[in-house]
Amino acid sequence: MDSAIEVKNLTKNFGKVKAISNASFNIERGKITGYIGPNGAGKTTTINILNGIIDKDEGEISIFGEKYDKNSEKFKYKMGYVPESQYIYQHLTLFEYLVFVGKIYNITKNELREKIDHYLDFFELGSSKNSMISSLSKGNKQKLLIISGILHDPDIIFFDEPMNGLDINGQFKFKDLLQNFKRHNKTIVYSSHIIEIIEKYAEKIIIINKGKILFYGTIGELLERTEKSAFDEAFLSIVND
Amino acid sequence: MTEGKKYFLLLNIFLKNEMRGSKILKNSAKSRYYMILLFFFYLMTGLYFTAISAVYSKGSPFTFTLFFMTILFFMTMMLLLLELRRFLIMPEDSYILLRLPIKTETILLGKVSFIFLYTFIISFSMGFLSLFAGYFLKGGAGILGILGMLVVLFFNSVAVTLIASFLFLGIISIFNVTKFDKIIVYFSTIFTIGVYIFYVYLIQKEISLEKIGFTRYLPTYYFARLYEYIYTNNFKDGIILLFSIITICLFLIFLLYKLFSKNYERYLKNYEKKALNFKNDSNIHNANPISDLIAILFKRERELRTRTFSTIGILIAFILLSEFKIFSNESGSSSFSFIYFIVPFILYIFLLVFWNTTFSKDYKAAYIFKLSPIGRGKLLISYVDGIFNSIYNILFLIIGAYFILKEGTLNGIVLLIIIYLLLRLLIYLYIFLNPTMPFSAPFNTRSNQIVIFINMVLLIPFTIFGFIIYREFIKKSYLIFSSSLIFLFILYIIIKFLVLHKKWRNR
Repeated sequence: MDSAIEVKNLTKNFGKVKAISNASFNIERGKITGYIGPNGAGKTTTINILNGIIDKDEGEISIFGEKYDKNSEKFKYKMGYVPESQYIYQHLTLFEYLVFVGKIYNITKNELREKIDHYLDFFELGSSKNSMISSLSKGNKQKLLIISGILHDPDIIFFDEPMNGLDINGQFKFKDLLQNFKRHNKTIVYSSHIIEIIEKYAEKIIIINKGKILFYGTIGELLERTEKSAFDEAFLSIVND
Repeated sequence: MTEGKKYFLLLNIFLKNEMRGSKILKNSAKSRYYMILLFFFYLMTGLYFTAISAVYSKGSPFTFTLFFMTILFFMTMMLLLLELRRFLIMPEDSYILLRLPIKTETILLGKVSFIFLYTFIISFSMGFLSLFAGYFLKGGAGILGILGMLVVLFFNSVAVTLIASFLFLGIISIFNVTKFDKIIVYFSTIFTIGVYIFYVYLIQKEISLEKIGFTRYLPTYYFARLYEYIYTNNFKDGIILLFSIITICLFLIFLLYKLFSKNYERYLKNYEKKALNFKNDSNIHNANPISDLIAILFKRERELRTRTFSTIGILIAFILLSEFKIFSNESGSSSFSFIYFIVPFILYIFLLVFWNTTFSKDYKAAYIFKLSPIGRGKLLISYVDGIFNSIYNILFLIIGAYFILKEGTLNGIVLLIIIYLLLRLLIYLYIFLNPTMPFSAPFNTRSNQIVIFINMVLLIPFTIFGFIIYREFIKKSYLIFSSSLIFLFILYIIIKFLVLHKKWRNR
């Protein structure tokens, strides 16, 4: 098994609250891994740690076999993150924001312009290119977050509830994008409450609850272990066990 | 990409986001009026300070600069301390910047540079008229005077930015951010009162600022000296002092970079949890929709605003000063207290109300208020507030008419305003002190900064100006202040109805 990310004994506490407790798992290279769990299970905290947004308390993380160093920039070039929270600088235009992100990732001027135009058109945001982010709808902000997370063509992409607020058309577009990433062997970590999406796209799943990893494997293995015939039933069975 | 280029990218983004957020760069009629009024406001404040400093300095370039720059130093410091949290730590920074390949040190330097530019713009607006101080100081220096003052304004802004950043990062290293907010608001109130009393005392007792020992520990002392050297063509000493100032500034920047970047990173990384906790705490945004409804019914749309800290501070200062008459030469003179403490107080409060009802940026909070459910015990106060906002004003006019009949026009109006404002303050005071009690309402701590800043900006110059005028034109001072009041009222009416009213309702 070729791992993109290896996590060993990851622990994070917020005061007295154990957000993640001794979590260990692997994310396989080139696959879509569904990272699922109830609200407050520790999904976002894990992803934030892997992206350097918060610090872990204990544990080891390796990215493509190399020990992860939060201060090393090379890991950040390899990773893209589409967060759940819509925190974006509100008073920039879409174009300004994407240029900023792209430049920080060292994308050349022409390539950046091409990519921005391509993705804005793909998500049907081309006409809003010079609009203020504050004027966008929630769904369009989400599209912008998706674009900014993938603009630098990362090898590993973390999606935390990426379809939040997307309309039907946006959802189709996003699913297209996901298929495309799969074809290009990108490693995807997909965190969501929407079981159907995970069931359809995830090749491996990780179930987390109350900061503990409850299951790691394929959906088939989950069904076998829980002796259930449906994925959602198997998920509930594991979580409520 | 080098860290240097990333630094400039960050600075560009911070500036655009802030300036547009503050409506300064938006290309709309509203933002243009906002900008003009803001600039006018700073310019007028600067005019007061320049005039006061010129009278106080009696033509000495050093005394003038020391006095003027010290006022500016404390004012901008106060503004920055109140704004620093918003400037330095935004939730956007945690989510956007930490995942990008940028060093935290670069982010911190970008932020501090942005803060410096912000401070410099304000200092420059307020200090614009002081650039021409050379034309009325002894031995007029012309272009050299302008250049010297520009250099001093620049370094004053650098000093304020660095000291405020050190204070902020130092405090958050020891305390958490919630405590910081509390500490800084209390501090600002006490600080305002302190500076207010100090300047009143200084002018009243005719004490020269440079003769007070501690001024040597203020950076403004050395900036004033630098101005004096430039002004008097003493380039040798000027260059030595300039070099020393630059060295100290660079050292402080290096220290900030090395000492606090880790703390800054730690804080940014902890922001998410705090932000989420805040978001989940529905009590914070608990609302008074009934109040809104009543206010709308009465064609008023103002939600209850509890910007009380500074107001309480000034109220206490006013009471203390009036009661003890510590600065009163004319002991027992009620006109003295009236002119020097009540009138500036009224003017301050008036501007506070003007700002709150016209330029408040809290409409997002108002939006949340409208969506939130009504909490226990909130219903009645919602009604009280709504009625207060709507009916009380009419009732108040009737009371006012009585006062005017009994006390004469001017006295009646002044008395009316005092009673109106004090009653309002008492209600706010109750709400502030008892946020969870019946008849009270939860209060929102956001965006108090500008009001407290106005407090600082207005209180000192009006009071000092009052002192200066008093000596020479005892009776006229009364007229001047009353005229100012009427002028501000007219300005308020014009802006409210011609420019902002429709737009505010539509946003």
